[in-house]
Amino acid sequence: MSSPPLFSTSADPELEPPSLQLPLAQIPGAAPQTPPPAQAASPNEPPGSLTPVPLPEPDSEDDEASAPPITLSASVVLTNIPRDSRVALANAFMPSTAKVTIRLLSIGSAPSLKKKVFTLTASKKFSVVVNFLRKNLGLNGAPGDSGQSLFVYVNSTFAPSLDEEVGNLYRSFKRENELVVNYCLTPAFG
Amino acid sequence: MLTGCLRVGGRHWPIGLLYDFYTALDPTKTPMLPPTNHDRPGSPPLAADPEPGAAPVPWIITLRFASYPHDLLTTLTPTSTHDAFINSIKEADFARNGTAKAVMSLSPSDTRELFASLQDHDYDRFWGVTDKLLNHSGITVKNIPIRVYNPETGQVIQGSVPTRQPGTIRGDAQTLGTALNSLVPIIFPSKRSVVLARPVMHGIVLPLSAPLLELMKEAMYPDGFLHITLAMM
Repeated sequence: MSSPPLFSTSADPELEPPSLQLPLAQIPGAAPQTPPPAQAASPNEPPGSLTPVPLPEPDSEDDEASAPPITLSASVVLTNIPRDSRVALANAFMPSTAKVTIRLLSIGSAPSLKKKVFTLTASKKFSVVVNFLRKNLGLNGAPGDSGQSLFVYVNSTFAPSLDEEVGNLYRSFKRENELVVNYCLTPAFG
Repeated sequence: MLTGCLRVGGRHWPIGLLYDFYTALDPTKTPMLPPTNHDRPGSPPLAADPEPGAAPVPWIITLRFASYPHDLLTTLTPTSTHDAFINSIKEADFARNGTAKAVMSLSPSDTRELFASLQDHDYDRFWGVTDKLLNHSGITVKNIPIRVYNPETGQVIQGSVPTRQPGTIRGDAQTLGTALNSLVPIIFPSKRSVVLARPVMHGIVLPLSAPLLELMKEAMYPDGFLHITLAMM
């Protein structure tokens, strides 16, 4: 079997990008399905480390499900938005890939987590934090059962809506560069 | 002030915000189409020739009493609606003052009155209680809670903007222009004139020169936020 040519002379456009994108060393015999190098993934912190660990992030389909059901792109009124403005809008509201630091503190009889400080991508919804807590506190009931109640607050004050982006909460309510999230098993704050 | 609320995927969105968001109309232009996709027989006739700049109201909403979209909207109960509203005003209070003391110190009867005024669409009773929140003794409003909506993608930027511009020697009052410039500088590169988008709230275009504190006191939504939608130019 011959190795694929460096530059395809074929007119088929589908053949060209792969041969151009592969690093030279990988071309002979490199399967396209080769997984990325291990260091591309964020390193797993050992338990008990002082560095915040990333919260597990579900696939984006969860986010899409909680987005408003109809965006303006579906509306005829919107077709007259100029292209430049469209690009500016898209850039200004680009989902932030920055990470925010979240401190999870228990209130009352709620069990504490061994590790309290985590990082999470800013564009993730607050529901990711709540689901993480439910899972780690073992509050999820059997399938079909909604499980035990959990009440989650920011700065021991208010319960944000589940579709709020943690980046928005962090920007508005951070304290010493941490978003402080309190949780308890019974309602704590009015 | 429109006080009805609809819950979209978690947060309650005021009706006025839903109107601004889903029509994405620039109120300075004549609407090309009526903001409804319910073209069906029996619909009320639309104004034949709307004045230029006239907002296409009333907004025609079709209310169905079956097939509730449980996958899109949270099921509403009186309790959940009340709790969500109280949490919203606590969030706004915390954003304004760094503490929710003003909301927490409302008497139970004031809290009931506030929610009842929202249900009854009673402007005077609403402001009777809300005045106590905005002018709580010993508390000076430090920040203004703002949410800016991108009608194209449904994304939201929320921020608490200081009432006075940081970095200015005299502590100049924050205007809508300086606030939007700090929150979304790509869309508002200028603090004085609109370049790419007009800020719209309650169906009207807001001037960038509007003092933000005054804007909040006069035009905030019942949950205490300024919900601003962008109309592209």
